[in-house]
Amino acid sequence: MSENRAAVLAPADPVLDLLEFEATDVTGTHNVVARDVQSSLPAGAVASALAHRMSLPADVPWALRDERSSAFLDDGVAIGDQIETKARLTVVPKSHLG
Amino acid sequence: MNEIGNVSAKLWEGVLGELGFTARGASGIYSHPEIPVFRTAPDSTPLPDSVVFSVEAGWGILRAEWRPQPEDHLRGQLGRPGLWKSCGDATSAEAQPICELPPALLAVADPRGQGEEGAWLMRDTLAWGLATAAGEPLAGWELPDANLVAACLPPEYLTVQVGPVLRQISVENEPGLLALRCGLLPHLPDDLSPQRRGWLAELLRDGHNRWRLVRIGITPDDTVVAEVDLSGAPPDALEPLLKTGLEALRYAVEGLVRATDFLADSSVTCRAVEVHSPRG
Repeated sequence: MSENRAAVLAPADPVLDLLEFEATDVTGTHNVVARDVQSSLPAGAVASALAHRMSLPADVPWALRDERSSAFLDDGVAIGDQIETKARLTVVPKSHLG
Repeated sequence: MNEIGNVSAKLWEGVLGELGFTARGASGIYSHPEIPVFRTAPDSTPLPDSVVFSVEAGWGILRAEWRPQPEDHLRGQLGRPGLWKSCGDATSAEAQPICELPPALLAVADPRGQGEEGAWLMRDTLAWGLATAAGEPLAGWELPDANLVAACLPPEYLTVQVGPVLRQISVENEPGLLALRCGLLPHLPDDLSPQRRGWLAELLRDGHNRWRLVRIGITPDDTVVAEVDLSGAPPDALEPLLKTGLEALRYAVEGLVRATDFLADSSVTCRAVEVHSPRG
């Protein structure tokens, strides 16, 4: 198991709040601490950027799941409206079976 | 070169005359005497300056002619109403205040296609340019319709992603203020070496000079911000200004954000940056 701890994602408009959270992929192979993430960023864009940081396949759509509630974050809604700072998230592929 | 795509300042000669501009021979340059123009450091008091208008590469350019002492382009320019910014080389003794009007706006204001309405729009736009030259807030400007602003700025275009790096552009539309702003860096690290700080400043200055409409600067609390400020713009000019302003800001952020992130990350070692200065 490797660990990738880096300041990822986004700084920050000074007028907006910043978040810090930890994210892993579904296998637990990659672990990223995201700091200075603008809370106004849509969760879908954050998922995509995290997947890029974790070198996950770019041709797969990715989503975020809050480990505390197990709820998937809404792609189009600001991440700051859906999680608290210091949250733990999982980057999961959007897949349909069958 | 003052004429491209058959657009020249001469198209608005009547309007320019109304506003107090006079033609400089057949050069396509129109000059207006004695407009107070903003300054940055060390003394920000606006000073009288002659302002010229010309069309260059399809852009309408208002430019102050008198060139002040060297300025720190990265400090003191953010938050001023309107599109004026002071551009120049860090080592040059010259810095030039400039206000650029995009081709999309000139097309809407072209009297050959739009008739009198186009001429009026250009008059209002140039008057806005002259009024904001001093960098002072405009009295009596009405807040634009939020629906119009939203229609010009689709939410998906407000997010900039470059690989793993994300930035969100904020739209500030409140009394006296209409601006697009994007934080490039939340704060300059205290432990950044002088060399890296120099490279970062050079990168930001270059972006500020290079990308039309976009001001890039450092706030008093050391946040690096890129912005397009349209406060006071005439209502009929807003659509082309908002659309072009958003494109310009996106280009600037996309072009700068990874290098900015890299230079500001003191945990990443790069010997080339440490042993060379940006000025050779």
